[in-house]
Amino acid sequence: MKHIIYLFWLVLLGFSACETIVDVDIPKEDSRLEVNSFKGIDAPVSAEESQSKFVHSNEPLREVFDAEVVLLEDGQIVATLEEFPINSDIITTPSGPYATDFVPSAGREYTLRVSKSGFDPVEATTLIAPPTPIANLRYDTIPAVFEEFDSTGNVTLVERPSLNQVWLGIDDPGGEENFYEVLVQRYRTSFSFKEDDDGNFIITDTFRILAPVPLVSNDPIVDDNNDFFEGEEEAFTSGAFMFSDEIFNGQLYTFNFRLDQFFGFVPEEESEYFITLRTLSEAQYRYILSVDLQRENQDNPFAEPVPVFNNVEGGYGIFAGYSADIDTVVIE
Amino acid sequence: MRKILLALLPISTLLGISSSVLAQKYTVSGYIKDATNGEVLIGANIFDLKSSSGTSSNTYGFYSLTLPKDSMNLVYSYVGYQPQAARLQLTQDTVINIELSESALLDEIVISATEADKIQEVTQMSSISVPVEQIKSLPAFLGEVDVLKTLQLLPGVQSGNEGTSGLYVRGGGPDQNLILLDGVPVYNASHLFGFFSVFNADAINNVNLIKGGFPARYGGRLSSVIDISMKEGNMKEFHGEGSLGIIAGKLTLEGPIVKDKTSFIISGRRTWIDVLARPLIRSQTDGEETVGYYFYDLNAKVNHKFSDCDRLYLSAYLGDDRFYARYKYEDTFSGVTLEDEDESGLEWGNITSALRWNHMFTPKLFSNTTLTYSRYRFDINNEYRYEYLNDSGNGVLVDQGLARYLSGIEDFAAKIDFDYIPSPQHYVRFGVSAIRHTFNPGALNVRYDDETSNENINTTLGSQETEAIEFAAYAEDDIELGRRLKFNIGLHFSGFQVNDKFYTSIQPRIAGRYLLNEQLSLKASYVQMAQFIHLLTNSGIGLPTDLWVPATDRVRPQTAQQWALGGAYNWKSGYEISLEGYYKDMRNLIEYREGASFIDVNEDWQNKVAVGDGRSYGAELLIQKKQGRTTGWLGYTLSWTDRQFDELNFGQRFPYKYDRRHDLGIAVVHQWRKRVDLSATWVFGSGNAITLPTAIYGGIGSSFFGSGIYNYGERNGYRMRAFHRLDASITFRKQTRWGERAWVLGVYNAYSRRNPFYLYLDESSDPSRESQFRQVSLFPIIPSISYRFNF
Repeated sequence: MKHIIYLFWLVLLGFSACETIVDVDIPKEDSRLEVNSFKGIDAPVSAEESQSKFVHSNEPLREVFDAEVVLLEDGQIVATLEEFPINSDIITTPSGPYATDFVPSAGREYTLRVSKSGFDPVEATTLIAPPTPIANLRYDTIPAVFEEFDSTGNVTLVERPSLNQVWLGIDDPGGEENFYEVLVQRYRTSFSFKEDDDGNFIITDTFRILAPVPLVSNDPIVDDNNDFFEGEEEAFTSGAFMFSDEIFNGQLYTFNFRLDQFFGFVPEEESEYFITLRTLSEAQYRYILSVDLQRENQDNPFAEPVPVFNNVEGGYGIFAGYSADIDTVVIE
Repeated sequence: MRKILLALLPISTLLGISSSVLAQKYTVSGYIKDATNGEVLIGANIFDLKSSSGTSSNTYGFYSLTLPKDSMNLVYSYVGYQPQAARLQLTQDTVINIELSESALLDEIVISATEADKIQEVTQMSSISVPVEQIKSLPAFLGEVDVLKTLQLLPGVQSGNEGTSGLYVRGGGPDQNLILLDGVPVYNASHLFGFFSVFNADAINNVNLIKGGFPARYGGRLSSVIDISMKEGNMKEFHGEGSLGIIAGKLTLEGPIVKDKTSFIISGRRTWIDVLARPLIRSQTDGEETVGYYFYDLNAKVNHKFSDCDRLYLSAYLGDDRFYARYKYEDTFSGVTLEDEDESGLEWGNITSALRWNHMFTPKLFSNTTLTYSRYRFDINNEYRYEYLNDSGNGVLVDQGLARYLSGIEDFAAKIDFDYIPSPQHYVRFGVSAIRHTFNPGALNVRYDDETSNENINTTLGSQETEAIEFAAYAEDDIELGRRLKFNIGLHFSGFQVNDKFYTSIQPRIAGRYLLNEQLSLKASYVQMAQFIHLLTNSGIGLPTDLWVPATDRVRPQTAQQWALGGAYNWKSGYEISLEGYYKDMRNLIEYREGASFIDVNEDWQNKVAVGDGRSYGAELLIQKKQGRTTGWLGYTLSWTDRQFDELNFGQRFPYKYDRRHDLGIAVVHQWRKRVDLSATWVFGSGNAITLPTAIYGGIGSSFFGSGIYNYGERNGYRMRAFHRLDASITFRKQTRWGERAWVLGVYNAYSRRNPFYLYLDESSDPSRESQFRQVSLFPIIPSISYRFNF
């Protein structure tokens, strides 16, 4: 397809295309609050609040501070989200500026209300579905070679067994549409550092981070329909694969994927992998899919623009919840 | 099937009655041809002044008129030709073959109306026939005469993007046009992304467009029939014509193989940009790279007249677009010479062919039996070879590979059509047809051969070929009920078998006209149409990747109903004026789902489309001047077109991309001097509908992607700027010893209007400047020159 587009552009250039600035009568839209929050039963609730801008505005997108953010469970207020200080030295999760220690439960309906002077208040509701358990799990390992840096910056090659292929059984409940996300996380050692007077970097602290492992798969349920020459599909930027049960509704399905060792971090000597099957709300699924599609088609003037799913009343964004089942695999 | 037989019964009964009642009448029949070259004249008129009865010749020039046993005074006439009269006492069935001569008083571009052509007389509405000579006289983009672009100037027909030859008829999509070349469907009528159409005007005899009130003999598409007939070849003497233009040249040769019995015509066209650019590219790349593009067409036809009752035609069209890039690189590294060869290609094109047999059973019954083949194929391929030269200088293969993607559609078809003309009050047509479609919605073949690792792959991915059978039967009758009232009533039955699914459709067709006075008539029509094939297209620019796919159990056939009401007025026999209103309702249309816009061999196309409905309504005005030194037309359309898909635009109805409120086309040809012709066209169209963002917000992960999320307003909720353009040309003709030559000077977009092609949001990194929408335009003023000749 790219060949076609290139040829087409070549033809257009041959016909000396030119550009003109045009006025389009688009009604001015005041800034609205944007709320973004995916929350699961495996983590406390956090949310990002920012504001939208009119399409002609060239100002940078801004976050919203001093907002009142309230969480309701089944119609009752259960928490107020406070502004969360971001540690600039250490990348921490959750990443939103508003957070609470409250951990939601499966099977409950949650509402997030955000108000801020100068903006219309916004509200979004989601239901956290019960988790679909991991029915079975198989895997194999391969020896992998990693480059390990020591505190002086020297590199040594380290060979360690690593988790390779994984077969994850999903016992999908029938009679309803379900949406899933599969991700693999493991701890890796990271460090913070500073530059001394001589320009050398000095490690000031080491710590463990639970980080997603990049995944690839040939499984048809994660087939991305935008590639001309097919190869293995890579998981989303988040490191997770997301799919619906459209082709295995009500059946036991074994999803096959493997860990992308090339991009992997050096595993610890005894690696513990957390293999997670998240049961997503439809809103989360639609939102991620539509954002991904919009970004993919952004530079193609002939593709129909993709509207992004939005479940925030009076504003923009997404508030959606998921439940999860986690299996742990230890590779020694 | 029983239903069809029941439906056809009244017509059969009517025919039986007609035959018995007409026992004391005789039939005069024959063919009407051009006296100069023997080409049949389609739609020529035959009128008996004594009985005030008449008829017209069919696609093969055949006519039949049954009159009372008496003297008759027939007048044969055709636009631009001198009428001829025939008087005789009709005492038996009589065959009269007539050859009409072009009018000595009128030059070829001057089209005159005759008594026979009165628009108010014919039952058919929403139909326009454009003489090929007039098409060739109008200004042409880069000097290349284009049949389809001329049709875009007519009311009810809208162009897509600037410069392209796509047709959007009464709110329908580009897939809903049945484009027939000698009765064979052409599936992709575009060269070079639609900037040119595949039809070479030098090889064409007649073009007829029907956009509503479809007679029952046509079926298979919802929105229009574009019936293009190829020339048959000069039966009298050898002739040729051709042209040399900026981008292409063409040559047509025709003549008798056996005079007045067998003739041939062969016509070819090829672009030569690649030939002109080749030395330049080679010099810039030291001969290592070759890149080029060209297209060509080849039309050929042979016809043989066995007798007055039997004729055989064999015609073929072959056309391709080819883009190629070759790369050869040689390098020496550490004493080893490596050779890398890479070749990529894009090819797409049609082949059509038809074998037709005309047979006259009786002077009242004429048949045409046709066997056809049509194929459209798109092929994208890449082949590479990597080797090193050993000490002996021989190449040693390291690895080589091939990837090839093929898609297309192939048809074999057979049909038989009958014309039965029992009396001047009835013109009955009936027939059956069957088509075997083979759909190939995309298959990828990958071959890979690595000598060093001894790895070999040879695999084919993608959709399997799908076969389907489409068949149809029809019957229609042009019935005259007194002097003022005339109807065309018919029924079209069609069926489609694909995999285990079987669809049928019964489509009533009715059209009528009522003559208010000698100049003015009222017309009305109602038709139902069904279409069993869909076109997957997302760009609207005629990319060769557009895929034809069959209706399936999940994606049902498209259907439409159309109502039309109008009037036709003949003012002083010089101007024909028609005004029509229409309403069209379309079901089961398909569109790509949002974002699903690319080829994918593993994904079933059915998962990538949304199914919905559409409607279009409006009014069309056509004023034609067919007589005098200045001829031409003005066509204006006021229309509304929208779509409703549950999965698009949150289920809300939205304007169709080519919903164009006002569309105006003016075409004028003026014979300034005996050998100098002037012509001009001016088009105006309201801006195309477009979807634009209204706000921007961050979205999850915005810091990673560096861009926000665009909130779009209603789908196609905004309009681009209006489109207008003036094209003009002047032709200088001169007689020479060997024939005639002409220089044609043309100008496209004479006042260099920057018409919108698409808009995009230009987000400057300078915060002090607002983001702005920028309009990309394609063609400024483009002059052209071409040289035409005929001998």
